[in-house]
Amino acid sequence: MTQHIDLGTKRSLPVVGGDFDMDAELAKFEATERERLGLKDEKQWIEDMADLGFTKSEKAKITLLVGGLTMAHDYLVEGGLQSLGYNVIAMDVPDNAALQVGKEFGNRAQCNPTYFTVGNLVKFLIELRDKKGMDSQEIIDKFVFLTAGACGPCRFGMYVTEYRKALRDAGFDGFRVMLFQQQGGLSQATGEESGLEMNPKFFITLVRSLLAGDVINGMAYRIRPYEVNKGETDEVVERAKKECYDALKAGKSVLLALRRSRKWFEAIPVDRLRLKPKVAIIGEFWAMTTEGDGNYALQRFVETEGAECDIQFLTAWLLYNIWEVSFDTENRKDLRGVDTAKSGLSELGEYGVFTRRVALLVADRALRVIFHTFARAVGFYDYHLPDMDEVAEVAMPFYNNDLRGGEGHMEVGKLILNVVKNKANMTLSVKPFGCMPSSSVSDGVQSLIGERFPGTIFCAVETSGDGAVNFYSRVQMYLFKAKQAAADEFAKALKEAGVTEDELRAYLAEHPKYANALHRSPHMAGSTATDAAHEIIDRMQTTRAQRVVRGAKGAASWLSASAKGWLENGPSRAKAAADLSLQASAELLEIAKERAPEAAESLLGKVKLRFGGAANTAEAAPIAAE
Amino acid sequence: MLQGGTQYNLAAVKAQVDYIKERVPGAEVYVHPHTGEAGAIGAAMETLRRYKRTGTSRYIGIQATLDLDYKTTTDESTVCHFCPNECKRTFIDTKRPDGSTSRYIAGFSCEKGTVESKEAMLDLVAERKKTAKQFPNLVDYESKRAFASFYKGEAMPEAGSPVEDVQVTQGLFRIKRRTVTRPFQRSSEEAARKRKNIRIGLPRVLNIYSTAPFFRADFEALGIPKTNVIFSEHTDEDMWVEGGKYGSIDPCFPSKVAQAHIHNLLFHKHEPERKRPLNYIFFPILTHVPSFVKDTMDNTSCPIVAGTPDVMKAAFTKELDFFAVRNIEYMSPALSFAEPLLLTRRMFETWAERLGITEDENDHACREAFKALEAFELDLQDKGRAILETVEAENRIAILVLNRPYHSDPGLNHGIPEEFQVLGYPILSIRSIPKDKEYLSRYFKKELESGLIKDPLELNHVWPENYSANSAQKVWAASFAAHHPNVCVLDLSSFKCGHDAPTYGMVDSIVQTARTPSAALHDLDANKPGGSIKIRVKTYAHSLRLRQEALEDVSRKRDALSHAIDKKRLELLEMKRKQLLGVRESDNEIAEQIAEVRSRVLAYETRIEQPPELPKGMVRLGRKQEDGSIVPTKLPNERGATAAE
Repeated sequence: MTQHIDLGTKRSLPVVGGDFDMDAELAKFEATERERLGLKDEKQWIEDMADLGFTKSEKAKITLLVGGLTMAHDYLVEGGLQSLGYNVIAMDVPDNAALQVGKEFGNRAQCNPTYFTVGNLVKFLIELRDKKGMDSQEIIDKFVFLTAGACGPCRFGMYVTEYRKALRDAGFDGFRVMLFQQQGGLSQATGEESGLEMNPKFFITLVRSLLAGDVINGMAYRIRPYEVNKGETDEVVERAKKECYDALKAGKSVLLALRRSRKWFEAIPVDRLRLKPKVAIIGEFWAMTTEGDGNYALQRFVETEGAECDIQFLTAWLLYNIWEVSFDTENRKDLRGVDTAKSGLSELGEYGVFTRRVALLVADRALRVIFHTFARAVGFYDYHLPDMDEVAEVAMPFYNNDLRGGEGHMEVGKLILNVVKNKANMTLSVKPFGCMPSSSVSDGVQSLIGERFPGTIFCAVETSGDGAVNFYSRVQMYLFKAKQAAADEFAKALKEAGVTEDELRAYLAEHPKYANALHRSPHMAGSTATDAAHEIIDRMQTTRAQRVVRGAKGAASWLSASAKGWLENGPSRAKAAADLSLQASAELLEIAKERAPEAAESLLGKVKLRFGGAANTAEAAPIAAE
Repeated sequence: MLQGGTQYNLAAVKAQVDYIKERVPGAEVYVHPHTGEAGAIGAAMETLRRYKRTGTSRYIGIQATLDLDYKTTTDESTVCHFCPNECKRTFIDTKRPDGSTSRYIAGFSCEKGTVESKEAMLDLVAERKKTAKQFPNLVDYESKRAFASFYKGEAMPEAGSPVEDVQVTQGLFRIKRRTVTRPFQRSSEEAARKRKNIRIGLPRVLNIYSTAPFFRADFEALGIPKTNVIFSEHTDEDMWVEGGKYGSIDPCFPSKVAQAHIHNLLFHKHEPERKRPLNYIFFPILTHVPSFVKDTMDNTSCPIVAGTPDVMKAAFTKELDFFAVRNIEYMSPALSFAEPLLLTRRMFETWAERLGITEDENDHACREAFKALEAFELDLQDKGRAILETVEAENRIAILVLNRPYHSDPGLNHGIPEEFQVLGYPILSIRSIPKDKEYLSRYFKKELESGLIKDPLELNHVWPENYSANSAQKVWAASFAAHHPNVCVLDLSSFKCGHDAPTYGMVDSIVQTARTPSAALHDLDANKPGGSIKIRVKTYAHSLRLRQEALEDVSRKRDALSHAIDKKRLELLEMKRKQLLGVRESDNEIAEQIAEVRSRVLAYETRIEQPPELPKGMVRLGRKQEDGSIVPTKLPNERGATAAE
């Protein structure tokens, strides 16, 4: 038994030869001495703000803060998440005041999307504290910021690090920042279920909100430059957003809300013969997406300067994410083993590649189907989401597809396609000052694209948060060239057809369906006006019968080419299909044999009994497949 | 606390107070009562503290100071001509009351300006070199070693010798892998002969710094002579001036300088007239680089660093194809060091036809290359451990340079580590920190025991967003420094470094929490920041001296603690012996223990009566033995040690 003695007062041991713990006494003495001598171990830094969440019982008193996309997206996400029982507030689009707060509390030398987005959150919380008189702890207890995360390789993946630093330094130590990727499940501390349920319903709601935002934005940028009555498009956009917001919030059909909005868009009088160059806006994701001070309200500026914006959609970004996984999987599937790294296939079993392929294909197609369904519903006709394989393929000789971060190879791929397919008169690449993948890699490569593809009008422009004048003047410089290019192609179209603009207008007056806000002329040129001109000229110079004949000829020629193709390639296609089915059946049989040898044998036996010799086909299949 | 002469301007004080009150509600703001003299008072207090501690001072006394005669000169005669900077110096000639004189020189931007004659300057440089030799600089060693041919691997297996391989069968639904043993396939002798004449150039930039041993060993294993694996020179000003003219963008200097290295390869290393042409310039896109941190989200490269090979391709083929006109092929395949199998295949895809090699030969070469990379790391760690154990045993300081691997390039770090080396501090690189668990566990004991981490090389508890390999290694190294009392930090970063920026605050938190001295230079660029570095070195040298003193104090306190515990143990043992004697019992073991502890107590008391021996100039590195003694170790710059190049 251990006996404790007080060495400070007792001068004799209580039990002679007793089993007292000298080591314990010395340890106690050492602790006292260490204290006296000031010999303390240094403290170490530990991140205690990571992976914070909230529990189900907290859900009712928690308000989720969202933001960082376009006004439409943020607003609709707010509505969507409310339908799932969350209290949600979409923060305002980040402004210059947010930038200042971001710079004050963030690390030095960050890119400005970091400052804008981080600053926007901190600014919101500071206002709650200083203007609405809420206590910091109350704010920490009641609000949670929900954002998208990434795992590199550019600074975007480290935004959360920055959020934590700024929040701490601004006096909100312990404020919860949650990522969409964060797992739900049980709270480690309490064992209680997480309050943020990342279930399929959550993600479907999110996708519906985001895609509805995409098509509404698409309508806005397509119609606004041509509206006859200034401001009308914006009014309709607001109505449409509200309609979708209400539908999302009430858990009703957003598709029907979009359909209801269509007629409002349709009623906007437009003049598509206004000559405006089409400017494809690409670049760093946030800089090209935001609609405020973060890019000096670039889209509005371009419109004010007399051009039309061709914006990028969130859907395209999601498709790119799917493409990345698909590309990486295909590149690794036949390695002589599996690497354990993030892109390695160590977590996939023998069938993993197949199931992943199917899942990715389904995800890709589902996104496209939802987007186009929404687009049709609202009247956003004839929009083609990018073919990600095509974008990657054209970019590859210049920008390796394995390079990731930001838009990866997409900027280069999009510029090439814009030029080759004459999709816009000018490509404007906007990025924050010092953006790693965009300013320092893509732009370096784009200089070569300009050389290789003559006629390219490419303007790379950086946003630093100050000095809007320089930014605007650089854009204006290139817009001048784009306007010239648009005017040239328009004049050329008219000259070749021998018609005047007045004649086109007169035709439109007689045929109002071509002047409808939802009408989309077939793509022939860089600008919308020239597309419209081509279509009207065609209508003016051909009769209905001629068009019917031409249409029939076109169809016949297509059918003939297809039939010829089928005839020529038919045998080989049929053989390939037969080989494929043989290979599939052989493989399935082999798998069945391995999985359940007896059942497979019995099944084979039954087949033999039923079909006699024909069953040998199945046995012969593996040989044929080889 | 507001201090400095500016605070005499009440408008400035008001503006500051208003701003602070607005940003930090409830803050109390004070103006120093002697605001113009606050700095001088601080300096005086520090002088007093040092005087009390060391008992020495060079101060000549207040009266002598008041009676000091001096003259300042700034004219043509004071201009320093030892370099093209031509610094306009100021000479301050002083004469003390006792007639003795001194000249103080101010206004120079490097140490050469501190002397007047060429002889004195040469003496000074020689002295610096001598000091630098005594104190190892593993950043410099790493920068040379990485590109040297040092690895002697296993020879290529003979044709037909058994080799284990994996056969992959791709079905529609599943992919099967089967291990087989088959004969090793060698390429023809003619192909091997051709390889002996192939010359491959690599730019000595960016992440090639952390992977060069791999590529060199790979090419050498394939039969490329070691003299035919050519790296561009280390960066220097002349190289940048000559070759920095191709770019159309303005990223960080380490990326921007890649063009000067490609230029160096094209115009200096490609020498067809001397029958030494370059056949290939190999600048791989390294999407992922090796990392020792265990629990990272990923091990990616910085996107600029990874993408620079494609930017270089664009820059050198835009108006004129500089490669094609020289009959050089530019190769920039994407490689990932996080995926050895993928890397091996990509190396084969890249070189199979060009070098005429079989897949077996490629496999063998890649295996050897990975071993070379490991040997490179272990060699550095061995030397790092020698430094750490020595400074620990002698209560001295080593400086750990926190940087990205390519800052080992003297043209990028501008010789800043050397500035500290000549002050007498050994320099550690991140790679040179020993990574074995047994060694590290003593420093991360608390976290390991509490279950916070399972391995000292984990980082998630400090920084979860650790997907960037070089950033994660840098942050981990900061954490190591925070755990090691003898390690101080020199944090180097390039202007515009997008990956370092988010870690500034965190590295600061790590070293501040543990009170580890740290100096940060975060805006390194193409030009050597002469003046500002001088000031920073001087300021930081003072912090290092304070740390050294603190280490000495802690060491003394530890000794005192150990002595106090011994005394207490002796007291307890003697009480126990007395009690045993009281009941007529004795215990030989106790008697032996008493004798042992008493001898320790006496030895300590005898020792502290003698004045402590202060550390002298040179740190003699050694390895700690089990009995606690230090056995001297050979250093990189000693004859007989493994030569770098």
